[in-house]
Amino acid sequence: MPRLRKKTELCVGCDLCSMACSAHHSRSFNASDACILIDEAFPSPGAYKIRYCTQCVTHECVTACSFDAFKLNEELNVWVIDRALCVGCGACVTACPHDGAYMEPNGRYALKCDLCGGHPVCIDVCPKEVLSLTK
Amino acid sequence: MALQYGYMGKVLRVDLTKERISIEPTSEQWAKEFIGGKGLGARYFYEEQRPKLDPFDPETVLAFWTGPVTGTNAPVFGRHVVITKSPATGTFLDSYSGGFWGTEFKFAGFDGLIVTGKAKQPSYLWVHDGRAEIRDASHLWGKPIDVVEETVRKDEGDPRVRTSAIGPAGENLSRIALITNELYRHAGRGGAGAVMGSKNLKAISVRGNKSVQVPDIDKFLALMLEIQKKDVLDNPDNAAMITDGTPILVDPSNDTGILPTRNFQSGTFEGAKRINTEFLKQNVLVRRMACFGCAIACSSFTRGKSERFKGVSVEGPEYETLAMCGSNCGIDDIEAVIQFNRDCDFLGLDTISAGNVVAFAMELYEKGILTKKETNGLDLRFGNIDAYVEMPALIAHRKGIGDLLADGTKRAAEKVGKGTDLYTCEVKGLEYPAYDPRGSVGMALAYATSDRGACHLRAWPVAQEAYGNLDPFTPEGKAAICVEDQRRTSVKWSLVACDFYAILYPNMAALYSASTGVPADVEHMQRIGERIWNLTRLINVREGFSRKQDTLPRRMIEVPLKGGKTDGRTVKPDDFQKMLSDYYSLWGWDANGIPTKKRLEALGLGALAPNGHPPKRRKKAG
Repeated sequence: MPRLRKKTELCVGCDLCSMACSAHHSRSFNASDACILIDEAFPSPGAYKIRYCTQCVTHECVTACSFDAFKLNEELNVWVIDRALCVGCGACVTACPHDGAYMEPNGRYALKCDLCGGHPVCIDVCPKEVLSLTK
Repeated sequence: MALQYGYMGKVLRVDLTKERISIEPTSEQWAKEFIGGKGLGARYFYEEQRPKLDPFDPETVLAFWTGPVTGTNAPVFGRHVVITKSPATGTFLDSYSGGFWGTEFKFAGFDGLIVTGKAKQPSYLWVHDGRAEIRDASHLWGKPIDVVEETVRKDEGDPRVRTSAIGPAGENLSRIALITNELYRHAGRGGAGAVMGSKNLKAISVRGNKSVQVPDIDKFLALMLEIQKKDVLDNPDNAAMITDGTPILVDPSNDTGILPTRNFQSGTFEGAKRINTEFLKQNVLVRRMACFGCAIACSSFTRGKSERFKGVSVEGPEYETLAMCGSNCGIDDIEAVIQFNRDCDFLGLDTISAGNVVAFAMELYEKGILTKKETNGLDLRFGNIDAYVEMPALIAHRKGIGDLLADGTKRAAEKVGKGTDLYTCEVKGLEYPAYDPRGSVGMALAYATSDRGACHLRAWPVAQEAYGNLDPFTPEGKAAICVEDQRRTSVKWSLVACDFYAILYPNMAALYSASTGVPADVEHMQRIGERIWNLTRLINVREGFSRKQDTLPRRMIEVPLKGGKTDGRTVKPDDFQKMLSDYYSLWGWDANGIPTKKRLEALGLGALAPNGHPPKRRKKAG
């Protein structure tokens, strides 16, 4: 199964991944309306952190959802949030132990990486080749 | 619906005196005529800033603008512009900053922010969710910028809050004070920080939950990927910015004899190899950093390792800082420059002007014009690190010698008297950046004719002169380079692009159209560039500026450079005046540098001509 991988040490914090993600999933641009987020910590330790769903096998997010909003993409073995069913309660965000699920900035629905159906748009747009897909 | 795409369509207006906040539509007509950023901001400024008003008068406009591609994934466009009247020069001031603030501000729902008035007590502005409120900042007043940013983030409980703030320098109305966001990104030149301080406005914090829309997002994304790959990452003109960033300029400047050294006494520095890009990369570089949406990532995050400067870190030093605060102060210890740079950043000082004014004081000290009595007991020789690292705090807090220097070299020389203007390099009160015109004469014209005083970001003929193939000492052809650069950068700064993306008209037009849906070709963009440069000239003419203030510092004429390839070089006044006359003529201005009515009418600016209809002052833009 393909999974998103990162080389954090190459990241320069430009947010282009978040913007491509926002454009792909929401058809407009807001860096916080994204399933991949970059945090920076400067001046100390002087590093970036890249956050996204690792598609873990325990998927606490799915278990926490009371609205049946998570659907399994069987081909990729990836749980996908159906925005039509998600009510934005935030239970999945709280339940995720890996900091891989987030609220949309207006709180309308939760965000979680769905691997863009197998071709994550964040990979192409990253200018520093931080992101890649494993087989 | 002209402003449906690219723009947020709203301007936020804050009157700090009346504690009144209002929101109005962004002017569609002006957006079409002036794009955004510099152009749109200048048009609003022309309308709303009362002529000849003191920059510290509460009525002075302090504005923040984005452009129509800000907040999209267009590569290298994550910047915003601060527009006000410069307390350093008395001219129009547009000062740009990278980082993430401008984008987040746009996500908060606005194209621009116009602040007037003066708050009763220290205040900060909180902008979020299409709304704004004025908040008490008494707990932030007096604090350095890093503390301000961290405090607001903690108070809001949101690490993604972005803050533009002033340090003690801005509070103390230093005319070389800047406005900082994300610790290390600055609207640096011209003293905008002091205008903010004069309004009792410590910070503007923003967080955005709105989105930027473009007409056809799939087309837009495809175009951006193509531009990012072909015109940004694979563009040879950007290559050095990707591998090294601006420090790469130290070597060519030193080799060609234009690296300001010991207050512009020389263009060659014997310690250049200890402040150049190789030294930086091998000794102090921690990592590269990018501003929002930037595929270039030119910034060097550096950290000191020596016993004295261990752990001191900064995003930088950039070329201008390495030169003005390094070689120009006779400092060859890059870690001392890091410390100086970090202190300027957090206390709120422009490093170009700070480097100039400290070097000015050093030369006066070595010449015996200033003594330890005036220098707080400091042995202010060139290269003396002990004295050098004390200077940012003294200036920002206006302590002793710092008070003399806090308003820049022009005003310091006026206070000291004794002909010390010979030791200053400035135009209209803004200090020279790091390209000595005695070794690249076109820069003399670029500095003289920049709309905000001596600035290298309006025209940069040095690229073709000292760094290129043109004769750097002849005045021939240099006016044309300045005119063309100023026209192009006027468009670039109105799209609020970064300098380090060598974007040309075709892609500027393509980007503008893709984000706004407004058809535009190269000619359309060029015409807008001409319109904007004429408008900022008009603003300065209205303030009383003309040929008389487009000057060459005495030092360039009277004091020859020492050593290196430019040994013995000066700028000949006749050469300078010839370039200036050519320049006015190419712009279609009169011999006194005033735009002619005919020229202005051709650009759709006839109503703003000096002898045309006087502008009506109005509160709301149409």
